[in-house]
Amino acid sequence: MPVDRNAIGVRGEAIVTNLLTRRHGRDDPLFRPHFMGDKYPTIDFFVELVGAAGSHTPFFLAQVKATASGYTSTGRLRTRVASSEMADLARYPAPTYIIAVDEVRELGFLVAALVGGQGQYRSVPTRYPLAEGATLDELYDEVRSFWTAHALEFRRSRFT
Amino acid sequence: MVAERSWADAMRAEALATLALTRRDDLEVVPLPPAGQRLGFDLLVRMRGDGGRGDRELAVEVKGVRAAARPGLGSGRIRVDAASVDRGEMPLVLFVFDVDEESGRYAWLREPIVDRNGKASLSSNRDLTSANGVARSVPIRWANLASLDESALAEIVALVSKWYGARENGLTDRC
Repeated sequence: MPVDRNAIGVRGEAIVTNLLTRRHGRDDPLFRPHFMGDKYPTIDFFVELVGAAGSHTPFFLAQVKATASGYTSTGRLRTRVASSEMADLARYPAPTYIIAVDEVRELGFLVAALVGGQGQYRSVPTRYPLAEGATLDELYDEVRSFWTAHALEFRRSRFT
Repeated sequence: MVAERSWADAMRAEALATLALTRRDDLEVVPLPPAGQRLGFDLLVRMRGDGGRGDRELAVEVKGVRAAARPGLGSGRIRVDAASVDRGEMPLVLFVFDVDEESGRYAWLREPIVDRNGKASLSSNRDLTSANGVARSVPIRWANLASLDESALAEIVALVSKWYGARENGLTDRC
């Protein structure tokens, strides 16, 4: 497999885009991902929820960890997430996630970066595969619920 | 077959094309600048084989279609910019992806040709473009496109590599 950073970036981006935009029988995908570019620190994807009712467009932020190193004996993906990476993600006042990508099998697995949550990962659990429609449904509901509970409105500015 | 009805079809088709290309170690999909669409293609592929040469490139136009529409229609129209097909200087191939079934097909838009004398040329696909060089929608039947599997991609790479080899030997021409 290619190992240079650009190739991993492009392939990782394509894998995540493919997984997040699968329709799973719906007319439209649940998510519209926007790749931030390889040089942007911390955040790889800004992801909008498609078709969410209400006046807001809910979104989440994701960092992608792509690997071709396979799995541990307990089925976890062999990629590390440093405590500094988790902390940087959790600083954003929005739902934030790590998407660990198996480049070989073209799969992605989701873990949340929570304030006060898991500090680091030496390998990433594979409980929540993005290839499954149920994971996408739960992700959509979680992000929508967050924004329903924490809806902010930008109502004042000097630049008007 | 209905071509690119939504942002999702275009996004998914480009992702699927990138996945197919990057399954090979010897191909690199080069990110294009935001104005990349003006180049007349969607993906720029650099061939890293042939002793690591970095100047052998393939342009790829990518289209997405929905499987749900296919059984009833059997054909559709895809907009191909004939002017960009004519003016380019590198091989250009059209990838069409069924974005639901995640299967691909292809056709050459600027096919690399090496004749029996070793002369390299590019042949514009007149079935998929207009004769007067303007953008138009052209009918494309899914069944008439070649299947884009691992061996087809290997053939595409081999053909492009052969074409660059012949071109570097000094004899070039355009059909």
